[in-house]
Amino acid sequence: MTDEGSLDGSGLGRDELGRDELAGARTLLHGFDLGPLPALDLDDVVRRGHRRRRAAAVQRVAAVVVLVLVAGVGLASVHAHLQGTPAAVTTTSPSPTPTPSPSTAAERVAAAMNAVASADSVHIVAQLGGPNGGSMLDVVVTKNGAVGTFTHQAKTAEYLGVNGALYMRGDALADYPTLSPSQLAAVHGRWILMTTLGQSTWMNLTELSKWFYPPHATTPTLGATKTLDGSRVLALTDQGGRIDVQWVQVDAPYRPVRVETPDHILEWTLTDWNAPPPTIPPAPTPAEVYDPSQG
Amino acid sequence: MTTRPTGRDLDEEFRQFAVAQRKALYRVALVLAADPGVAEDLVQTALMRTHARWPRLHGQDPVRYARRVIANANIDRWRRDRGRERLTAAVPEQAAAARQGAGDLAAGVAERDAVLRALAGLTAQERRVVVLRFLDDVSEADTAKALGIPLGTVKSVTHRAIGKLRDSGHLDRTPQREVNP
Repeated sequence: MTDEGSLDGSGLGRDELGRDELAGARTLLHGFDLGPLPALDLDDVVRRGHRRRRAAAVQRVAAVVVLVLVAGVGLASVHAHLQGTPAAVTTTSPSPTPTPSPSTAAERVAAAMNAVASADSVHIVAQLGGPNGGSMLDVVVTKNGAVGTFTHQAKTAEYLGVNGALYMRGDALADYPTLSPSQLAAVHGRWILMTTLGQSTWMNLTELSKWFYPPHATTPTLGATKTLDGSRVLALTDQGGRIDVQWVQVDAPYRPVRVETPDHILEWTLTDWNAPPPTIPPAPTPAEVYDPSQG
Repeated sequence: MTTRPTGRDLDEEFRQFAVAQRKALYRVALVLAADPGVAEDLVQTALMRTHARWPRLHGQDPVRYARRVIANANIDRWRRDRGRERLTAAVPEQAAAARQGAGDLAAGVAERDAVLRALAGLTAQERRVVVLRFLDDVSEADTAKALGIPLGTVKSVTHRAIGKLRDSGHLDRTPQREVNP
């Protein structure tokens, strides 16, 4: 796209910088002899390109992990961690042993942790990005593993926690965040091993129970009570509820039932406690697994 | 239903692209950097990054992407080396020309030497404008948009750059020739 005609309006003046001179510059730059081209090691270029692509793949998969992690560990702890927020009254270090009638925030946390750890199964639905878009994680977590789906913009990925490892597989990973066709080709429909990137929170109920205010989280405070799905629940708020509110049952068995952020970007519910758990499929074979940390 | 190209297909496609475009990319890099050694590095970087991006460049313009990488990498280099930038128009193949004794080759070397010296006299911004305006044939308005500078600045920078090339005496004595990208 050229605009030689615009010279007239350039304010430079045709006398000073004429069409011929512009054409001369163009001819000069397009035409001067480059000399012998420097040697090009295409094999090396391709090798380095592949390496760079693999590094990008790990970053993208890590972004999925962050998403799951945010849903899994609760925004409070993640925010505290990411922002380096000094734990206000840090480390409640709740004992997993239930207290007879929890009254303090630390006791409520301990009771919730115990309720999760002692359950047989729970159904968790986490909606991220608001009700009209974004992503949804729908999993059943049992003592031995977890199984479910991750959906993003009508595309789905399977979610499988088994034998101490977490795997995901499917098209949703291609869109959120985007995996390039070549990266997907490298995956070849295999399970992506998420655990190598540190994700384990929703792998089984033992891991999930640790979700409730891990050591680096700030101490929650007790908030309002209300009725939710027929049972009375109490708010555990973090930083005055600015980050999230976690609703736990007021009465035994003191289960966590809902987490929500003030802007409703993240909402997740825990239901169907101790429903007959689904069969957790066997762990995929090594040949079926793509480990992003290995490229 | 279209089949997704395999990794090997993509690599082969990229290799063809690299072989076909390396000369044009080298020209852009040379005009931007005014230094054959730096230009070589810029082309390597651009091709490596273009390869990394290759599967996602389908349906897009990989040449444009590679040129943008060259421009950005050159800016990064310039920022990194600011204060200790050396602009030389060294022509390493001068000795080769002498050995071969080929008149055309020697003339080419001399011409290149002169062009690079003239380009070395331009500022980094002037060279960026020159590349967009005269190698990429981008309009003044689009050049302004691409560089994030006012249209008036593009005009004045172009004017200044052309003036410097003219003052170097090179524009006048450059023989008119067929465009050879």
